[in-house]
Amino acid sequence: MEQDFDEFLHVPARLSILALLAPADWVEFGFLRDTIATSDSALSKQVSALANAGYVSVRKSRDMGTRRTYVQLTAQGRQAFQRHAAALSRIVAAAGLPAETPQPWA
Amino acid sequence: MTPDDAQTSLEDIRGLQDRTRDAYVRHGFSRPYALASALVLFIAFASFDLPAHWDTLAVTSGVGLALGLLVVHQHRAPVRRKPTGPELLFCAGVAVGLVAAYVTFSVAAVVAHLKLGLPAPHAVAAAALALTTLLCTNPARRVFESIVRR
Repeated sequence: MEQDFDEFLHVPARLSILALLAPADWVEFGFLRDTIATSDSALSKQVSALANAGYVSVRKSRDMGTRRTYVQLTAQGRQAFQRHAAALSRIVAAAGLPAETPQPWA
Repeated sequence: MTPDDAQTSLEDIRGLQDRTRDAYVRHGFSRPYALASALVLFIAFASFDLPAHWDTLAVTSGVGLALGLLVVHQHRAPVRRKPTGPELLFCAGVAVGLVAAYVTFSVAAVVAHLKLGLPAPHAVAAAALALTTLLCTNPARRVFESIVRR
């Protein structure tokens, strides 16, 4: 197994959250929930796990009476995500499969 | 982790990243904001036909509306990110294009005013600019999308 492969990150919901966060500075909780097609509570659980690991930070704000929650990838989370994506790319490349390396940090 | 699983994960990552970028572009070019932007442009540029003091009031209203629009736009964005260099260049290019279009429309409207008696030439030019802005929204969105996806 690739040494940079991150078992904690490879849980589908967590990897999806990080993939959605990677191209942005802040992403709204509702957008994450709707895109991953999960429930508020299930997403909260995964976001909390990622926050406890230091991979994401959460900010709550009030916009014209509506409470909004935003999630951001931390520098540590971005590094972990880059390493994990690179590990996946190497696994694919080692098997000789056609692989277009994603730019998870872009 | 098999190579096929890894490849599937990479494809999923790529697809999800595109969803974030699409949301960013979609919000930036959404119809309410395009309409509001066209209205702000019309108010600001049509004001040149107004007498002194009233033109200042109209421009101030236009700028105030634009700033308010920007704040609401930013607050409601599902995806927030700092624009990259090429994105800023695109916005600068759009601004230059709008000014050039307004100058062209104004020259045509002033000529029509002098020769045909067209009333309020700057208001006509501003209306043409607002219409052009609306018509160009979708093509501009496609160009911006390709820049964001690069």
